[in-house]
Amino acid sequence: MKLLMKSASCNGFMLFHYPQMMPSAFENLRQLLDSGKIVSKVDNGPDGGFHGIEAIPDGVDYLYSKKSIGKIIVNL
Amino acid sequence: MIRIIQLFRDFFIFYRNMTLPRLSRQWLVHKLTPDFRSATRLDDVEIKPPGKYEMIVKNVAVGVSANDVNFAAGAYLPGTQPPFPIGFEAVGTVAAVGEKSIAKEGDHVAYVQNGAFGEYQTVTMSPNKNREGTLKLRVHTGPKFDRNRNLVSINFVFLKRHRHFCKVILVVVRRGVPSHIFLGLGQTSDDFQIQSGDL
Repeated sequence: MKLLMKSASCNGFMLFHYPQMMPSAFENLRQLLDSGKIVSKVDNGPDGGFHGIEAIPDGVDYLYSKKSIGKIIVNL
Repeated sequence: MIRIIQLFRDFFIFYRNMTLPRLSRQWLVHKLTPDFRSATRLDDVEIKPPGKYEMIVKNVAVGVSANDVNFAAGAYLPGTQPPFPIGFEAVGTVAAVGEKSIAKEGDHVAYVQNGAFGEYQTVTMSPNKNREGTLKLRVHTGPKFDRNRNLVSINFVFLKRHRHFCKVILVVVRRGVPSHIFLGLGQTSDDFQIQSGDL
């Protein structure tokens, strides 16, 4: 609805279809990181985190729960 | 003399490979669906001795991403039929190496290669390119840091030497230009200790 009222559209794209743009894009990201405008975060999951190889699907579910902040990792 | 050294080395590699377990538990895709749980199953797979440019990494922590769901649905490899391994990124310890491997046993590494959701993973890293990977990236054997001491690296990183660095983001460097961030592993040394267990 937000898009509709602005006559805006939203497109996905495949990262590897644009390899020539990757160096400059990632250099921009790196500068944003250096300047502190963005930060790198790790999310080990709720309640003490994900442990064991069996917990990997829990990590995937957590990603789609939209509650994670940063990179989800599972400790084996 | 060279022959004797080669024999000694071959025996050493053979002995080391004997210390690997025979099987590794590995998440495999058995059915193409975006429902990760019904797509995958935890199976036992055989650990083969490392090839010339290969290393076998005992994974300590793995990264989860939306790619895993897309890959389980068959989105990235049209026509590929299951079963196939899944998972893209991990940190771990090198358990065995082939004769031309750029790592040695005991090195702590981060890597990106298909099939990372397993206890052990065979990682192929030739000095020139990732032969089996789809990224075809140039590999650097040492870590690089920018002026703010961020790790700006490689698709292959020796972690042990920079556990004390605070902000860590891993970037593939191609021809000296950061070209692909693949893994934001952590921003404090605590993160690494949590991830690495016995590293």
